[in-house]
Amino acid sequence: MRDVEKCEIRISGSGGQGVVLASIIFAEALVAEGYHVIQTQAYGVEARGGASRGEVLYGKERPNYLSVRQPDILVAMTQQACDRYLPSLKPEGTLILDSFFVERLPERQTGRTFAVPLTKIAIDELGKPLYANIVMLGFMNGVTEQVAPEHLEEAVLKRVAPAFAEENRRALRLGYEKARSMLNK
Amino acid sequence: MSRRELIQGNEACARGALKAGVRFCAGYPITPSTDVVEFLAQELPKVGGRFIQMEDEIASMGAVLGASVMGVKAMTVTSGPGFDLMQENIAFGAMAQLPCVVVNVQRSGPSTGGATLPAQGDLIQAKYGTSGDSPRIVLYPNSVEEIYRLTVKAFNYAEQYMTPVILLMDEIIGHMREDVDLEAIDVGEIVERRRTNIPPSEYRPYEADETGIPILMPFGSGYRYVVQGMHHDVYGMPNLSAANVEATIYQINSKIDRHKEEIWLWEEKETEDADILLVAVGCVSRSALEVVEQARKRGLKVGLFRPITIWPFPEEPLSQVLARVKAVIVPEMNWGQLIHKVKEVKPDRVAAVPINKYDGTLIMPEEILKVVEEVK
Repeated sequence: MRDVEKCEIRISGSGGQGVVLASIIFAEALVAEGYHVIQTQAYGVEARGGASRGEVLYGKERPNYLSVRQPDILVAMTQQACDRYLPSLKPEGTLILDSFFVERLPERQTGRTFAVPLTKIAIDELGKPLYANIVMLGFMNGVTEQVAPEHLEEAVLKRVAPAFAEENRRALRLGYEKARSMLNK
Repeated sequence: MSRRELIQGNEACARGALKAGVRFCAGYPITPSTDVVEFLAQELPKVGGRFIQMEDEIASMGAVLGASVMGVKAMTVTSGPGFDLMQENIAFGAMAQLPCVVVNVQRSGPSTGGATLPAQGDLIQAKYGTSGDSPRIVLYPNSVEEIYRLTVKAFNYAEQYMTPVILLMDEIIGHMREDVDLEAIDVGEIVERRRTNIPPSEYRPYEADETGIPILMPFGSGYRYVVQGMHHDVYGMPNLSAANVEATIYQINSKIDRHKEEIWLWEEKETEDADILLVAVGCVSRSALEVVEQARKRGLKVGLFRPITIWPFPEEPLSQVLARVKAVIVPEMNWGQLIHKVKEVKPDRVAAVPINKYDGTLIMPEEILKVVEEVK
């Protein structure tokens, strides 16, 4: 566990991409890491097909307030989510885009931006787009290293059907390795 | 080693209810409270309890009262429109002095409103939604852990004071997840229904004891009496004499009044030397806590008073704090409800400043801080 005072993560996309589930999984990995965590989500009319998001707030102390304001990390898995939430990202924050869906990449003066074909990796390597959220988690942790990989893997396996444990493990690893290779370039 | 788990607020409510010994839940599932009954529907049968999905909220509340008459710890779970429908039977529960717990995970209203949007619109309704004068105990948590504690407390108060207790929750707190170690939480004594040794032939169910509270023996235990909604005598039989009507109203209301100091729960943060006091409940109090921290860093003497028991309203504890401050700010996610109680309690010289937000989003710390800067 690092000495994080307060960190805000917003994972956004379209309903059905598993962004809310991804936020819950990552929140559980952060709890295992020893942090105090709050996880929230956008529901309702924004579900399936519309803009959807899962959010995580964490720190060494329990966060007081309950809503992400200015994320340190923004994940956008659709163009709509990218356009909508990019203005909220901290200038020095980390932006992760699924370049399979986000075609117009924003120009940023500061902060790190990673454009990765998360969904394409899921389709090509695992045969299904539904693993994109897990590829994303592996990637996000690969570039930010917020939790130990084993904590993230445990959190993923707790939330997915046991029959698909191996595919999900692979999805995590693919995302993580992609991140490491991009960082080393 | 901590066994902290990531738990949703609604699940913490269901687990608190099980901890308190709930064995019956009847409900008509409604967003944003559905997770509570989903959990109970799975878990109650495992401990010999029952969940029934009823045809509507009126029937749900009726079934809960029926279970309570049998001596079973019973609850229902709803949100705004369903809470409206339950009011008549909640009043019946208050009149017939039947303990039960009603959870209302509030959503934006009135009417269908917004099923997934947070709002704090039911503070007044929770106390005054029914006809006549009837007592109500209403508890209002602000964290996942506190939902667990207060659900247990709600059952304890219901059994102790023989009355329906409302657990009022925010959509935000109900749906969010926080890390907690529920097993490590000491919820204290679990209160069970009091019993009497008086033989059935001499039993007078609605005769209050020295604490002002009657002892209602469970149906099926050999005690026969009438449970109904009219003004009733000590046997439960209708009686509209002036003396009896007065005695009924006095009994159901005074039993809460005289024990209010045991029922009041509240939290104070940095109130000792505060010039500006924030009064907030539920999710808004979390933003207010952040404001207290940030304001103190800027050298502003800001404190927070958080009513946890909102009915009976903790008037005396709040008035003690208000006597020391210059201004009070009341942020709430409605058109203005909590502020009425604050105005009732505050000295004339203290300015009361409302912050009302009703757009279905949380009041954020900076919105309160801005008003603090204006008021100081």
